[in-house]
Amino acid sequence: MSNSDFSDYIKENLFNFYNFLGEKTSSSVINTNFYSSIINHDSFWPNMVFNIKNNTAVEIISQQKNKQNIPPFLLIHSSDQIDYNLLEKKNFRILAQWKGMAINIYNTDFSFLETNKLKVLKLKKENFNIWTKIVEKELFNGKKLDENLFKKISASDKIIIYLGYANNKPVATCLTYIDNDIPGYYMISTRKEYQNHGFGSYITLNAVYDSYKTGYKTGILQATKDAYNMYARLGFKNFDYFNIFWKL
Amino acid sequence: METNILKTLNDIFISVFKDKTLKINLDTKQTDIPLWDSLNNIVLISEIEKIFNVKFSLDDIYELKSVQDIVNIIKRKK
Repeated sequence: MSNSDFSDYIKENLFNFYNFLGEKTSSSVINTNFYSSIINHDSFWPNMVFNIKNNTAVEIISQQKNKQNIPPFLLIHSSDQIDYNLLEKKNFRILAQWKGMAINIYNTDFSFLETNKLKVLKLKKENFNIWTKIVEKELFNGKKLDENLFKKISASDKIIIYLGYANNKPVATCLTYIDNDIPGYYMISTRKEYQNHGFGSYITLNAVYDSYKTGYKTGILQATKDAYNMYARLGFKNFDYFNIFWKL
Repeated sequence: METNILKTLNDIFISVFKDKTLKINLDTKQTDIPLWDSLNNIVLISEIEKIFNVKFSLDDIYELKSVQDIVNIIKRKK
């Protein structure tokens, strides 16, 4: 399998996740010849313009933005032929970079799970609020997420949501989205006061282990700068990146 | 020069984060100010660019983690 195959998996999993959210929740997805977008007025996430085809798309998005029709966030993949000077000219500023990473599940060392440092359970109905609050605080700096969105998608067999407990306290989160036999790991977070104890690694590896038991061969995720080394230690390798731009 | 930059920066931080008690120094890191997330970082940079008449590059913004980084960028571009 080539590097570009992995890059395609990473991109497709994310884009299909957005489309899945459009089908299953109140989020609206628009697919045009130039770009796609997802918008949810009740939540900070997953509002994003993605699958941006070319510079003409940037021009169109820029005009649309003025009419408040689409989200202010642009997701540009490393393979996209987009002129960054044009983005700057249109007043889009870089907000973050996600590294696209993939793991060979069959070759993964799962021995860390023997430490049992976290008890990981599939999310139960009564705990969606706790799970959402952890993700909201740790990944989105307190910006509001729609708890009902996660409740709705959890009914699908494409989704597994995990909550990790340390000393009976809920401390870590993860969500697996399975698309075309490729599990993507999302919403991986640990409560601030419990960070640097390996809980993020544990809940991620636990999700990868579930994928292994099901028979999946490759898993993917998008890593923020802060979490990159943690995923690399678990065996994830970097194949591409996404730059996220924001228009003030 | 550094003292003047810091003084002006402190005023910008107070205005962006709407906290009159905020006192920054060269050691202040992004993680020290809870509201200094990636969104507010862009608002902050826009204000800094306006006041100091400098332009931060994409790399500058991506690498920025502390007040020291901001001061270094301003000094380099002035």
